[in-house]
Amino acid sequence: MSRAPGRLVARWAVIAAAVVLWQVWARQQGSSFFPPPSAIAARMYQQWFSGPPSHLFLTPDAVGNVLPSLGRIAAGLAIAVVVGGVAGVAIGRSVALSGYLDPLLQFARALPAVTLVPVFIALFRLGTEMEVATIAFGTVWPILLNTIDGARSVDPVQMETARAFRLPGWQRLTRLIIPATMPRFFAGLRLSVSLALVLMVFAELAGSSNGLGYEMSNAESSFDMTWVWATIVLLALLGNVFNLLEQAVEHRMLGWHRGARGRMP
Amino acid sequence: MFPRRRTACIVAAGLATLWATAACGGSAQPSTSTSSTGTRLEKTHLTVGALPIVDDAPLFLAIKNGYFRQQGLTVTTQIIPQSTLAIPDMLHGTVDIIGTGNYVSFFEGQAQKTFSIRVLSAGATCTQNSFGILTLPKSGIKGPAGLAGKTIAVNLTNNIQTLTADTLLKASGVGPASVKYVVVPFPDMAAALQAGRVNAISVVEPFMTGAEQAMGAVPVMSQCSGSVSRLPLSGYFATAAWAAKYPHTAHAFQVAMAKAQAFADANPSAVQKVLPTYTKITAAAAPHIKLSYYPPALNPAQVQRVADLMLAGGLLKTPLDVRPLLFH
Amino acid sequence: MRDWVRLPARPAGPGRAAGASTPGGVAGPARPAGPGWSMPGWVRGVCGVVVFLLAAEAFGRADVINRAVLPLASTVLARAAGLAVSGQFLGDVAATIGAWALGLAIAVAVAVPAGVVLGSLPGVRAATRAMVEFLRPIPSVALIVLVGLILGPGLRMNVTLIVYAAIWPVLFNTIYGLDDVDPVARETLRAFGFGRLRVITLVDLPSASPFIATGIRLASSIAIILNISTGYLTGRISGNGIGAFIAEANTGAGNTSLVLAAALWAGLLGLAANAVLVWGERRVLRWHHSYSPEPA
Repeated sequence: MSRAPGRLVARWAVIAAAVVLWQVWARQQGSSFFPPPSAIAARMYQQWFSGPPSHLFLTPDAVGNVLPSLGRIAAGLAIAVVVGGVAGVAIGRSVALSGYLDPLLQFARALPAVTLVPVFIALFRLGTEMEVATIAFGTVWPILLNTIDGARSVDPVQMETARAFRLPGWQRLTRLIIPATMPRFFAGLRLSVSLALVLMVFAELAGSSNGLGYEMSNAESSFDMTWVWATIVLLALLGNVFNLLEQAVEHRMLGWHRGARGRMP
Repeated sequence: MFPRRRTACIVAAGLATLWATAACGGSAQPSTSTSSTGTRLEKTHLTVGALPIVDDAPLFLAIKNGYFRQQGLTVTTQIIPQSTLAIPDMLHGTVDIIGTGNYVSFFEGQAQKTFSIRVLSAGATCTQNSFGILTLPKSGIKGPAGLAGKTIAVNLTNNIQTLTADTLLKASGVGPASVKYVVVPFPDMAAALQAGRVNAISVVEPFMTGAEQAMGAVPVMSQCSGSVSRLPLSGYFATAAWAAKYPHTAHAFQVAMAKAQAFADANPSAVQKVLPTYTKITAAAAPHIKLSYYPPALNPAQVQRVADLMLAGGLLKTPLDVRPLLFH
Repeated sequence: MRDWVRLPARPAGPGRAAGASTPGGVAGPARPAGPGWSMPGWVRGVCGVVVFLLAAEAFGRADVINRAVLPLASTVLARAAGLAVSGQFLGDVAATIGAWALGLAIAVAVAVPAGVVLGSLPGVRAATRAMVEFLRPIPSVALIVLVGLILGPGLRMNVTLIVYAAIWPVLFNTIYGLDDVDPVARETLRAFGFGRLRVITLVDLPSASPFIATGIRLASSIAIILNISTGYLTGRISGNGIGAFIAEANTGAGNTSLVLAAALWAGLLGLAANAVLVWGERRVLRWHHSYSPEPA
C-alpha cells in the first residue's frame, strides 16, 4: 500500500516530537525530576549497554541485574502457563468441578499479590524463590480463568461428532479441546505477561539482592533521578518486547489452529 | 535511625479529610510568638518526623522537659519507619523537620540536586557497640573475613550501613563485591536471621540487643570502629527553602535541641526512661540498650567525614562541602 | 491494540457476557438442561469454599509448615472477624475505597473521550499509536517514588498512580468497542444529516458500551491492587489505606495471621467492587442486545 510508509512515519513522528520537546524543555528548566532524554539515554548506555561485544554489549551490571530479573519472569510465567493451562482444561471440562471451584478461583484472582509477599518471604527464601513464587501466583489466575472459560466453550456439535466417530479421549483433547481453548488461553496469557513485569518489580522492591527492581530501589534511595528514569525507560522497553513476543507466539499458534480448524468437519 | 518500624499513627480517614490534609499541607496557621531570645518566630507549631530508635531520644526529651516550650515552639512528632520515606512530605510541607535522618541519604539527594537541605541539629554519633553486624553462633562466621560471599541484611542500600561495612571489610582484606546486601526492615531482621534467610544482619540499637537476647546472636564486626569510629550518623534536616523562610524558628529549634542533646548525653537514665514512650522497647529492656553519643552542636569537620566517606565509597561523584549545609 | 478481552460477538445471555470469560466476572453456572432439580450453582460454590477451608485447617493442624509462617485457617478467620470491627482498619478500607473510586472516575473521564477521539480519527490513532504502545507497559509500581517526590505524598500521589494504570484498559476497550460499531447505522444517521458528534453519542458510544464496561471492570481490579501495593511500599506516612495497614501489621514475626486477614478482606473488597460494577452494568445496559435476559 502506498500509504504504508506515510503511516509508519506518522507513527514515529509523534514519539520523536515528544522526545524533542522534552529535551528542549528539560534543558531549559533544569529540573532534576525530569532529566533530558539525552542524559537518560547516555545513562542507559553507560549502565547496561556499554559492555564488550563478546557479551552482546551488556555490562556486568546488565548481566548481574537485568538477566536474573528476566529469568525470574520466565520461570514464573512458565509455571503459571503449565499449571493454568493444564488445570484450566481439566476444570473447564468438568461442570461439577468448575461449579465447586469458581468462587474460590474468583477470590484468589482478586487477592492482591502484594498482600501475600510477606507470607512468601516467610515461606521461601528471600530472593529468587520468593520472587518466582510471587510472579507465578499472580500470573496464574488470568491464564487459569480464561482457559477454564475456553475449555467450557468447545463446540458441542463437534464433541458429539467426535464421540460418534469414537475418537479416543486423547485425540479429542488434542484435536478438539485444546485448539478450541487456545484463543481464550492466549487472552489470559496476554494479561499475565504484563502482570509478570509488574510483579517482578514489586517483588524485587520488597526484598531482593539483585535484579532490575533492586536496581531501581538503589537508584531511588540515592536520589539519582537520571538512573531512576533510565530504569523506567528500560522497563517500558522490556514490556514492549514481551508484548511483541507474546503476539508473535500467539499469531503462530493461532494461525496453525485456524488452519487446523478449517480442516475439521 | 534507619528502621522501618511501623507504629500506628492514626490520621483521619475519609475523602474530604484526606483532601484537606493533602491540599492544605503544612501545619497549623503560622502565628508569631517570641523565642527565649526575644526574636519573633515565624512559625510556632512544628511537625517533626521521628524514627523509633535510640537516636531520637533527645527529641522526645526536649518535648518532655519543655525545652521547646521555652523557645516558644510546639512540636508534634510523627513516627516514620524510614527517614527517606518522609522526604516527599518534607518537600511538600506536611512535615517540617525530619529527625535523625541519616546523613548519607540527604547528602546524596543534595548532590544529585533532587532537593536542597539544611542540617539544623546533630543527631547521633555511633558508638562501637551500638552499630554492627550480628550473626548466629551456628553460622560459623568469625570476624570480618568470614563475611566473604555471605548475605547481609541492611535496612537501606547505598547508605551508611553498606558504606561503613564496605570500608571495614576492605580494611580486613575482604572485597566488598563478594558480599550480598539485601533490604530487610529492621523489625524483620531477627526473624530473617533465625530462619536462615540471611547469614548476618547489620543493625543498630535497639534491634541489636533484641537479636542478642532473643536468639543469642553474636557480633561479627562493629561498624563503628577503625577509620569510621565516632562517625556522625544522623541529624535533623529541613529543606533549604524552609530554613530560609523560617530562620528564627530554625534557630529556636536548634537551641532547644542543643540543650536536649547535652542533657541526653549526660543522663543515660533519662534516655532509658523515655525510650518506651516512642519505641517498642519495654521498660525492662531499656537499661540493656547501648546508647549512642549525642553531640550538642554540629561539628563541620566531623560531618565532613561522612561526605568524604561517601566520595571514597562511590556514592558521590564529586566532593561535597558540607559547611554550607549546616544551619547557623 | 488487540489486547483486552473481547465480548463474544454473538448475543449471549447475561451469564455469558458477565461470566468467567471476562476477568473477575461473577460466577455464572450452567443452567439446568432439562426438567428436574439439579444443584443450584451457588450451593456448589459454597460447598467448594467450605471444603477448602476444612482442608486448609486440617493441613495447618498437621503442622507441616510452622504455624508462625502459615497460621491456621481458623486463626486467620478469627483475626479477619476482629478486623471487621476495628476502627483503624475500617478507616483504612474507607481510604482505599475512596482513592479507588476517585482514581477510577478520573481514569474513565479521561480515557473514554480519548478513546472516542482515537477511535474516530484514524490519523490521530495511527500517529499516537507508537507512543501509547510504548507507555502502556510501564508498571505504575516503578513510578511511585518519582510521583511521590514530584507531587507529594497522600491522596494526590495515590490517585495519580491509579489513574495512570487504569486509563489503558478503558482506553483500549473504548477503541475496540468503537471498531465494532455497525457502519450501516452510522452511515444512515450521517445521511440524515446528523453531525459527527451526535452520531458518536447516538450510535457509537451506546454500541460500544459493553466493551467500555468490561474495560472499566478490568481497570477497577487494577486500581484496587495498585492502591494496596503503593500503600504497602510507602507506608503510613503517605496516607491511609489497606496497604499501609499491611505494612504496619507486617512487623516482626507472628503477625502473619493479621496480614492474611487483611489480605482476605482485600480480596473480598475486590470481588465486591467487581460485583457492584457488574450490577451497574446490567442496569445501565439492559437494553443492549448482548444483555437480553432470555438466553438467545
